[in-house]
Amino acid sequence: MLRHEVPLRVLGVDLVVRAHGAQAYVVAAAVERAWAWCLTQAPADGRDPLYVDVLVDAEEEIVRWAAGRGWVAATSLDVLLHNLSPSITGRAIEHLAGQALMFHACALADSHTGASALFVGPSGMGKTTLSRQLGRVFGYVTDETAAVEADGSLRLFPKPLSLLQESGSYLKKQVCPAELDLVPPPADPHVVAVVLLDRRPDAPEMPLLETVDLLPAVAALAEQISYLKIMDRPLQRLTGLLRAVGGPRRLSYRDGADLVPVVRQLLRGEA
Amino acid sequence: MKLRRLTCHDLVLDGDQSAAYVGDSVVVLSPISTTVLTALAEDRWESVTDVAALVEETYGNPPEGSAFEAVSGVVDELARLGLVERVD
Repeated sequence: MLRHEVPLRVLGVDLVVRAHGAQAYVVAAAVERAWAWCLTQAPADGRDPLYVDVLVDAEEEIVRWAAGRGWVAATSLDVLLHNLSPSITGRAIEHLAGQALMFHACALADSHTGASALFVGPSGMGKTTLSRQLGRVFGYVTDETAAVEADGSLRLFPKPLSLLQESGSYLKKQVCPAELDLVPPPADPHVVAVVLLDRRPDAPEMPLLETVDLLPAVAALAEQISYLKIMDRPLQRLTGLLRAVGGPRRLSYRDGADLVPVVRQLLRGEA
Repeated sequence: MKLRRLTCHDLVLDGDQSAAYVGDSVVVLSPISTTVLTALAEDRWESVTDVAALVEETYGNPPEGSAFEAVSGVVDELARLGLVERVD
């Protein structure tokens, strides 16, 4: 069986996508294109990478066979790419469980200083939209999972953006950040702000950024952190981060396009 | 009635309030709940009367009812959350 490999670095974790089958070359090329900002040359420090096996085949029986082996398999490339993104993310965050605080967040950075702001919220709160709008001005670190180390450093995850298609298909198109003219992330981002997203049509006309009480924010943020429970002293770790960045904030807004001045202030430590 | 604290995954204090990681969620505890919880130990039983006296000393008398009644209500909630154990 043909096989092509695509080595990625995802949240600092080395992960190889292994494309199998007659369409392996085409699949690998599509993965390389979409995940271009996560491509790497070789695993760091000789560590063994994680593997994600993928297959596209028109025969449903073969797809079922592959899925039974734990592969990401589909009868079309679009479906495969749609399903691959959460699989890659899932494998990486599972690997980091207990080590990093992994927020369900988008992260934007000052490309020169590495200062980064996390915008935390559940699905549907506008993280990808925000990344697409503001990532043309600020460095794009991630639109989905922001993994923060104990020293406040942030692991890079400039994944493809999952965008709804005009056709109305449920399949989200996986678009490389370069195709959207996003700004590459800095090499060593670090967190300077943690912001709870509050996007709603009846938000104040001018975006409102406010400091919020620590403990209610801890409770709200805990729901948006993967594998928090298996971390040692998770609330100490979270409150430590929040205190280090001047406390949690909430951003109420209608449209992400209005947020450039607010994000600039946050990254400069002026907000 | 006697009380003792149960192990929770983590507890943080901020001023006179706290947040506890219990079960699969994080709950924010009021100042009185925090006072009660932090007055207890896992390896020692305390009487509700003694804990109520501590709360009364810290916060004064409640606007309605007695400190004992107020603390009993708090203990009910802490027990429901799995943060304290009580025996008659």
